[in-house]
Order: sequence, then structure tokens, then C-alpha cells
Amino acid sequence: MSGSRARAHLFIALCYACTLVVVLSSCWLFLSNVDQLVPAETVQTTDTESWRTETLSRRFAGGFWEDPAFWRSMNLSVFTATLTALLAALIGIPAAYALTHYRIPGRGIIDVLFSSVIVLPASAVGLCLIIMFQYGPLHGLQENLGFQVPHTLLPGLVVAQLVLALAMGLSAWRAAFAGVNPRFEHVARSLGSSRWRTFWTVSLPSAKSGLIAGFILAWVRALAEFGAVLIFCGTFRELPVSRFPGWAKDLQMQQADYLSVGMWVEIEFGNIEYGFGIAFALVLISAVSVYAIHRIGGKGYVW
Amino acid sequence: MLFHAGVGQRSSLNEIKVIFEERHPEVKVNFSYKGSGYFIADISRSKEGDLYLPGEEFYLLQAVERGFITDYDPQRDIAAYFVTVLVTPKGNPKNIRTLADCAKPGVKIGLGNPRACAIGIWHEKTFQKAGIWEAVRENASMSAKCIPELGNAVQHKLIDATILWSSTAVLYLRDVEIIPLKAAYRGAVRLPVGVLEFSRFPQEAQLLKDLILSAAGKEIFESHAYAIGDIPTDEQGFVTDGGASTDALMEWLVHAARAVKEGDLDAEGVGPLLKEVVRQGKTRRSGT
Amino acid sequence: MKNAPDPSLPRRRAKTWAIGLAGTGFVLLLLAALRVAAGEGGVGATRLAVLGVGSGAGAAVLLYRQHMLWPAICVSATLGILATYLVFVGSTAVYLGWSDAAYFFGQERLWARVWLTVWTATISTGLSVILGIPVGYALSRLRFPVPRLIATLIDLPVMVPAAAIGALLFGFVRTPPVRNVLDAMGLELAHSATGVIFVQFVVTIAFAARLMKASFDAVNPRFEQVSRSLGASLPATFLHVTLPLAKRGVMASLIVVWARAAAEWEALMLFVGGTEKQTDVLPFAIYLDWNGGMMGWCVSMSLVCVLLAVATMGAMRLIGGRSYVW
Repeated sequence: MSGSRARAHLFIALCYACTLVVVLSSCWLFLSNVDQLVPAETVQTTDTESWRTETLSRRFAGGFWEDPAFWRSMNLSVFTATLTALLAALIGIPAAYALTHYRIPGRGIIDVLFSSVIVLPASAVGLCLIIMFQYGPLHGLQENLGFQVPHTLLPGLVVAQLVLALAMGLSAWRAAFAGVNPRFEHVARSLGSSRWRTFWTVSLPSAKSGLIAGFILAWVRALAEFGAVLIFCGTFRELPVSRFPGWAKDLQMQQADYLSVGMWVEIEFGNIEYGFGIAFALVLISAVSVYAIHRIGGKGYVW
Repeated sequence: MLFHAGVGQRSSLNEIKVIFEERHPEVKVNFSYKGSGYFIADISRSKEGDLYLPGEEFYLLQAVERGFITDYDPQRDIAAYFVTVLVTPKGNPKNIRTLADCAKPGVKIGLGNPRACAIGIWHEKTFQKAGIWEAVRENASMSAKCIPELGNAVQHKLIDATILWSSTAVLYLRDVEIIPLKAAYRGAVRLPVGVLEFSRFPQEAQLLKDLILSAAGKEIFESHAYAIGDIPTDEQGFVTDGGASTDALMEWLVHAARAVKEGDLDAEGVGPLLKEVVRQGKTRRSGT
Repeated sequence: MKNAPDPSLPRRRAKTWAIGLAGTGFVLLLLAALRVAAGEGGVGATRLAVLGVGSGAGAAVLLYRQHMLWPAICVSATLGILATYLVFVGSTAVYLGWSDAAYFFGQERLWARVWLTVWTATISTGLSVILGIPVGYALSRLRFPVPRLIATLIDLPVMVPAAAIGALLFGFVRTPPVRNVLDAMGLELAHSATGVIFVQFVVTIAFAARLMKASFDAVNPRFEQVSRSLGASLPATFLHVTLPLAKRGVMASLIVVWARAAAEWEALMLFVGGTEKQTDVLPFAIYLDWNGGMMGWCVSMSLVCVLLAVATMGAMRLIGGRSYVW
């Protein structure tokens, strides 16, 4: 049977090799860009336009950690992403519970529609949001009640993130509830516990790790949002301070961009090192979160 | 052949490309559209591409400075001019008639980010010349990093007024009102083109450049609401001939905006913009 | 049995009442909102809104007394999301309108882009799956040192903002080992459909591996052990036992990976750049046309994207694959 043995070893080696390739490429994807953080050239300043001559700080990663605007962006991103994840949990956990525990007519269709959002391109999401809020009754409502959704910190940013974060969260929370053995719930109910108490004392604790993982998932997805924010909210960094509401100034979130959008804008401006600095900051945040999800051992359907 | 171009020039360049490929079927032109600022970074790193037509002279000058373009002549190599116009959403809800109306409190103005796009500098220049820059800045409700972003904001009623290039405004005829600026505040901005030094097909690139600068090429630009011919400007770029060379274009634009909205497709007075009017008149929502 | 109300007639009647009240409240609030939107706010709209909130509260009280408030909240959350989704897609469809829909969907330009999306996504899915199956098998059956670190590294490209991936790809393809490989293969990535496939492959490979792992996890290892003990080699067992048993999961994963590849945009925007007829796959084309103010095109393409997403997810449900990602 040595031929079979050899073939088995070969097969296993192949599987390991493929995994190694994927893991190494993933590492390489990040490591190979470290040199982008180092200024590649000294840029001569031109005197054609005075505003152009403002010196971009040409040093390691553009010195982004010393830029107060970066930290304001960080505040903004973390604050809105957390708010989004909380909102998503508030709506999504009951909805996930309903989808796993109650018979709702047309549940199959609802499942398909909800999960389709996950594979909707961000550009389509942003576009649909703009049309939803700027045409038809919702626009009239904004005009007459004197508020604005697109191009605002709140609720604009949160709305743009919520669509995909909720879709991701829902799938994870559904998986978490589906993983709870229904017998426990039946026992609790038959012992006279109300539905609310059953949920609170049985379903929730047994699904806890899955629910937390889903929350982190929604949070990371919200933080990773780019396209919808770009189309729906644009950038805020150059607006005059007076355009920002008081709470935004109190929380140090004025004149800041959403991190992923800010990264793109800096790269577009040709401020490459700074842009890559932000990109690495984002990678770090995502890495910690993903590790946390694995650590907690959450599961998520992909649908 | 790879042609780096500003997104804003897409529709004109596509037409020119068709003509060019008819004349030279052996050459295939590929466009690459990115934000103008990004090009310099991209080109410096990749050293690829044959022809460069950024949405603004500044970027071309940067390329010249770095030696990517060696034969730039600011008189000869100008394909067309952008002209600044005031733009409001359809129906002009805040009743903006002049530049001064932009300074009224409660009017939402879209400004360009001067770090990112040329129109941003023009906003600053124009409003400063009108003496209302501080007030307008307080009215700013967005700071765009590219001009289409401003166009979209007006289109979707997110801002009440902004200044755009004529060639950008013409894309939104269905959804915006166009208000010509007084000659004193009207700017004309050069749209230059240059062959890149490291081009792999320098002869073909030169042919295409010549086509863009020829009468046929300029005619195409004119039909997309660029100004052509010689436009006298002062140092800052404002027109100095009392608007004589650009008045016709302004009139065409105003007529065209009305014609498209009223579905009046054989309208008088839209001049070379007729093609654009017919094209946009075909559908209820703006398409091309 | 102190707390449990008996499921008798009054209870059912209360349920009917509650649904009726809640429905009325919803309709009243909607009417109030519509009046405000039309600019006819004032006392009438306020009255409607108060009535609406009142009947909603009535329904809540009724449900609470029947110990049904929690299920009601759960169900209304679901219905709320559903309604929002329908408004979300519906308003876009209404914005386009019939005549324009007929015009834009009859244009060759639209279908050319759909076709480009379909074939690029199909090729990249094929590549992802070819690599994803062995990786998924390894993750599912073989042992690793530092498993969580490896899992994190594999997942990372999915969770990092796609725009950042696009930026990072610059360095990736321009530093030696990868660059040499690409040069040797003679691949032109910028401004070409090849680049689109490459980007789609990069952002879906992690996904494919995860999904394959989930599919193989669902297969009971006992069957493999039996097959092996009967003398079949490991590759043969994999081909004739594991893979057929995981077929559903694998098919479902294929569909999901395809859908994800077809939805990629941000990394394309940064890494590949927009070129007509080369890189303008639907999600990217939406952005390109958005920048030209061509709303008709954007909206019709968005609707195609929505249809594609729903169709793929529907197909996935029909196959019945239900795989866990983590």
C-alpha cells in the first residue's frame, strides 16, 4: 500500500501548500506595501498657485499619527460604526429571532431578499439610498421638517453603513439563534416561563457568543464601508467648522472624513504615504476584530 | 495606446476616438479615467501611457516639471476652454439670480476642495472677486473633491447653487438650471493635451493629439459646451473681452436647459449643443 | 402554570385586534408623513400622527397583557426591514419609470456591461474555487499550528475595506516575487479585463476557502474513515466520497463566490482604473456613469445588480446549501 500512502501524502501536501500560498499572499499583500509609507521622492513645489505650495509632510506615512484630523477621523469612524452596530443589533436581533423561531408567511422570500443585500455592490447601495431620500415622499419630509439625511454626519453616515452592516449582522445572528437547541426553549416555556423571559434567560445566553461575534461582524463591516459612504455622504474635511453641530465638536468629530474615504481621498490627492498610513491603520483594526470573532468562536451563515 | 484623461472629458473623447479609429483602424485607443491628481502619482510609479489630457492645466504642468512631457506649448496645445457658469437645481428653489445671492444666509452652496480640484480654486477666486467669499464659505454645505460630485449634488437637490464648468453643467441639462455669470466674474480655463515622454507609440499619440487640436476635434468639444477659439483672459483667468467670445455659448446653454426640460427637441438657439439636447431629450432620466 | 395564558378564544381575538390596531396605527402614521411630505403639515397631520401613535400603543398594551409583546416586536422588526428594503428598491424603480426602463434595457451598452460582469466573475470564481477547495479541505481536516492566526490571515482580505485592498494591490504586484510571476505570464493588469479578474480573484479567494471549509465541515468524517478502511486512497476518498457528499455546499459556495465577485467595485476603482469596455463591470460602471450625471444608466444598472443579487441568493436557497462561514 505504499503507493496509496505516497498519494495520500502528496494530497495532504498539496492542500497544505495551497493554504500556505493563500496565507503567504495575504501577508505579502500587506508587507509588500510597507515601502509605500516611505516618501519615494522629494516633491518640488510649484509657484503657479499659492494653495498648491502648502507643503505636504513628506515623511514616514505622512506622519499621520501627528495629524489631529486623523484622530478626529478615527473618532468619527469608530463612533458612527459603533452606533451603526448598536442600531443593527437593536433591529437585527429581534428580526433574526423572528426568522428562526416564528412562522412568518413568505419567510423564504424574506430570507432571499435580506441575504441579497450582502452581495449588492456598494455603488448600487449608495445610489439607491440617494434616490430613496432625495426623490419622492422622503425628500418632501426632509424639506418640510427641516432635516437632511444625505451628506450629514448623523444620520447620513449611519444610514449608509447600516444597510450592509445589518445584512451581515442578520446572517450571523440568525446562525447564532439557529444553533440554539430548541428543546431548551420548549422546556422553559412548558415550565411556565413567558416568551420574553425564555428569550432573556434561555435563548440569549445560549446564543451569546454567536450574538457577540455577529455584533463585531456588523461593526467591522460598518467600519469597512466605503462605496455607500462615498456616494451618499461625500467628504467633510474641508467644510467650515460652523457647519458642524455642537455635539460633533464636543466629540471632536468636526472636519473629519470617514477613514476609508479619507484614505482614498489622500491617495487621489497624491498624498500616497499618508493614504497608505490610514490603510494600514484600517488593516490593523480589522485584523484585531477578525481575530476576536474567531476567538469568541462565532459562526455566521453566509445565508 | 493608453490615453490618460479626466473623467469629465469622457463624452467628447469617445467621439474623437471613434473618428480616430476610423482613420487609423490599426491603432486601438484605451482610455483610463481617474481623478486628475491621482494620475501624477500613478504615472510616476508606472511610467505607462501615451497621451495625457488632465482636466486642468496645473496637472499637465506638473507632468512637464517632472519631465514626462517635453514639448508643451501653452498657446498651441489647448484643445478647448472650460467656462464657469452658476448652476442651481431644477426650478431654482432658492431663487438664485446673481452671484451675490449665494451669500444670502440659508442658501446651501457647494464648494470644491481647492486641494483636489481646479473648480475649488475658481470658487475661491470668483467669490473673492465678488467680495463675498467669507459669507459664501459659511454657506458651504459640501466640499467636493471632484467636479462631478458637485454636479451630482446639484442634480439631487443637495445644494442650492454652485459654480461649474460649462462642459460639466451640460451633462445635467435635465435636472439643473444654468445661469450665466457676468463677464467680470466669468472664467475661462485651458484644457491642455500632451504626449507623454515614455510613450510606446509616440507617432500615433501625436496623430491623435493633432486630431484633438484640429478643427474637427474642436468642433466636437464645442458640441459638448466647451468654448473654442481664442479667449482673451487676464492673469487670473477671467475673461477680458466683456464676454464677447463666450456670450453665444452661455445663450446656447440656457436655451438648451429649457429645451431639454420642455421636450422641445428642435429648439432654436441651442447652436452646436443640439446634439446634446436631442440625446438627453430621449429619456426622462439623464442618460447618454 | 400561573404565567401561561391559555390559548383560547379571547386570546386569538386579542391577537386579531392587536394586528388591526397596529395596522391602523401604521397607516395613520404613513398618511401623516405623506401629508407633511406634500407640504400640508399642521394640525391635521399632527392629529393623524397622534391617533396613529395612540392605536399603536393600544396594540402594544393588548399584546403585553396577552404576553405576546416580544414575538410582536420580533415580527415587526422583520417586517420593518422588509418594508424598508422594498422602499429602497422600489423608489429606484419608480424613479426610472416604464418608458425609460424600456429604453435603457433595450440598449446594447447595458447588456455589454452585464456580459462583461458575467464572464469576468465566472472566470474569477473558477480560479477561486480551484484554489479554494484544497484550502478549504486543509482548514477543515488538517491540523495547523496557530490555527486562529491562520484563520485571521485568510479572512483578512474579506474584512479589510475593499478600497484599502485596491491600494495595497499596487505594492503587491510591483514587488519582486509576484511581479516576476506576472511578468513571466505576460499579464497586463492595469486597465484591462485581466486586471478585473485578478482583483475579483483576490477578494473572493478567502471567501471561497471559508465556504469550502464550511461545506467540508458539514460532511461526517466517519464516511471518509470507512472509505479509507476499505482500502481507498485519500485522493480517491476525497474525489468519490467527500466531494459528492459536500456537493450541495460546494455548489452553494460557488454561487455565493460568484455573486461576491460580480459585486466588486472599490478595489477595481483604485487598482485597475476605468476603461470603457474593458473594466466597466456593472458595479464600477455605476460609479463611472454616476460621475457623468447619467442617472438613467446608473439606475438601470443598479436594478440589474439587485436582480442578480436576488437571483443568485434565490438559486442558492433552491440548492438548499446552508453553510456557515466561520
